[in-house]
Amino acid sequence: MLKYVVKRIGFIIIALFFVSLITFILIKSAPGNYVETERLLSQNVTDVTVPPEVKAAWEKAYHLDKPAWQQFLIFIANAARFEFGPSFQYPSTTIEKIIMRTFPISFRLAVMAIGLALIIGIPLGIIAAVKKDTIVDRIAILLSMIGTSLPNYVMAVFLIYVLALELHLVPSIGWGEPKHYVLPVLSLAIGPIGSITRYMRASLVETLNREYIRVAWAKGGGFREVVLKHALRNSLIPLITVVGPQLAYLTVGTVFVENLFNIPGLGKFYATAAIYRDYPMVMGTTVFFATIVMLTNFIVDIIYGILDPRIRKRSMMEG
Amino acid sequence: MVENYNDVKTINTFEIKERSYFSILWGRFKKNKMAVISLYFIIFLIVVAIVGPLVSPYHYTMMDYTALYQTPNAKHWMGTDDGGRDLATLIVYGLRNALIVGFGAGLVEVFIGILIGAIAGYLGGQVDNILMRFVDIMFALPSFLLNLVLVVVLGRSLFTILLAIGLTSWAGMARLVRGQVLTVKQLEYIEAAKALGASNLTIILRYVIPNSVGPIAVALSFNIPGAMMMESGLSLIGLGVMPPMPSWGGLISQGSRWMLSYPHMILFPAGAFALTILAFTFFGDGLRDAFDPKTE
Repeated sequence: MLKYVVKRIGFIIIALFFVSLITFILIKSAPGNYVETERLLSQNVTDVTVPPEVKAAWEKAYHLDKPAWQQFLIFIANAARFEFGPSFQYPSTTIEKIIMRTFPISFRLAVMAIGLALIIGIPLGIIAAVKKDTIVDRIAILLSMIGTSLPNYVMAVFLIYVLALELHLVPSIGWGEPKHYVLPVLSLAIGPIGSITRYMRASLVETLNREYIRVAWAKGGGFREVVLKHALRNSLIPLITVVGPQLAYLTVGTVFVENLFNIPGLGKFYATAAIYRDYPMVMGTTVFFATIVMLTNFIVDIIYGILDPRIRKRSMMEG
Repeated sequence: MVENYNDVKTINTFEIKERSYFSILWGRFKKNKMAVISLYFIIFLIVVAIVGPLVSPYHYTMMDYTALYQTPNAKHWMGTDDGGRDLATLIVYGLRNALIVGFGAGLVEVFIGILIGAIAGYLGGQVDNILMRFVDIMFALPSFLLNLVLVVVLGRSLFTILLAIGLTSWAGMARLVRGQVLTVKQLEYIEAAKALGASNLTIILRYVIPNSVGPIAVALSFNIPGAMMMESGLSLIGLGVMPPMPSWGGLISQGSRWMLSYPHMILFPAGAFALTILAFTFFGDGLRDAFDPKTE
């Protein structure tokens, strides 16, 4: 187990190094100069030349006067301590402070969406499995297929239209009150609801055909006894492999919903940074997001291994 | 034995047809009604994307300040937007761009995926090890992150966007092709081909890849809508094709600003987008079942 953990952490570190390197090389080869673009945009002038001393001072502030390899090493050394320095757009604060302020909003959205998806998806999957091949089952399959294939921002559009514009149940815009969470969380949850329903149905259908389940029915067990107590138990543990990647995906996937609903989460800042070519912010956030995604997947695998000894054996977590 | 003349006739005209692989596939595919409808709908979309811009009396740059925010009417089938542009025309151009990006990115992805997967699987050993660790890294990353950085670096034309999407989504394809190569490599007729002196390249091109067409086609049919969603997503957050060139994501983002007063501006593009994505997904589902009846 320990060997496996060390190996996985080693892979994550190497992967993050490569992610940083690729992002760094890409950004270094990008055209454009932030000082000049900024002058062009904010002052509406055609002459984009900046006084050389201003440019030099600006470059010094961001270590841009040093050779590229040194810049990269500085970035890596700082990133390891979770320090990304100031961004181009917000020179008075640091990127890590922006991340600390905005990431909890994105993460909360993602966690709430996954929670909601579990609450709806599990019972829906059970119903579909028990009522296999009936009209209920077919509708559940079709809905989960639509849910998993459509992107969350398209779902958001239809949800805003129905729930906010037609039924006036919740506000479509605004941020700060609990009711403003309803639409973004619902839009984010529909995809995971689809995959959880699909998984639960497939897994339960398989389990319900097993012999020990038939024995349980034969012994006179009811729905509660057989399905909830015996069959469900086998399906809930692997569910974590469905939920884990979904959670990792959602922490990044909120970027679209955040932009659509104007939510001040990290995704919104990330997109804005990319539009304005705020390279330190793009670089810092990319590496941060990559870390979050890989750590989530890692933690999920460990939990899965702890819960299910069979997996531990198979994935060589032991020995 | 035969008492009725008609029966003899039927027996005489009966013939055994040799069925090609394609006709067997089509036979299986046909059973899935949703997939067949989706296929026809996709063909319809492609025709609209080609013919639409030619026959439309409007262009996506044509503004008409006497016809702002119109709801659907005889002159403008889907109404107009905040610049008086014909929404139906914008959606058709958006469809054209989505299809170009979807199929283009798919091609890039298949090309890189086959290249890396075939080399890794066929050569094996250290080459395989290094390539697959690289694939692992690409796989562990959400492709959206690299995509966004690539678009910032390469620029925001239709071509660079499809290139960026293709360049970040081949990892799954490479894994799939590698797996196929490993399976096919063990088959006896490959051994025979080797004994007859066929080169590595010949074996890969003539035996391995044709054997992998099914899984590749299925993966591709799911990745094309994936690329379309990525393109729209980038446009939605302001990083897609440069305006005034329309994109579905851009139309949704633009429509969201006017949604309270003019919901048609967002419902038409979002609806068209949803139908297109669903058609590709249902088609992919049918294709998968046709290639591999076991999954049913």
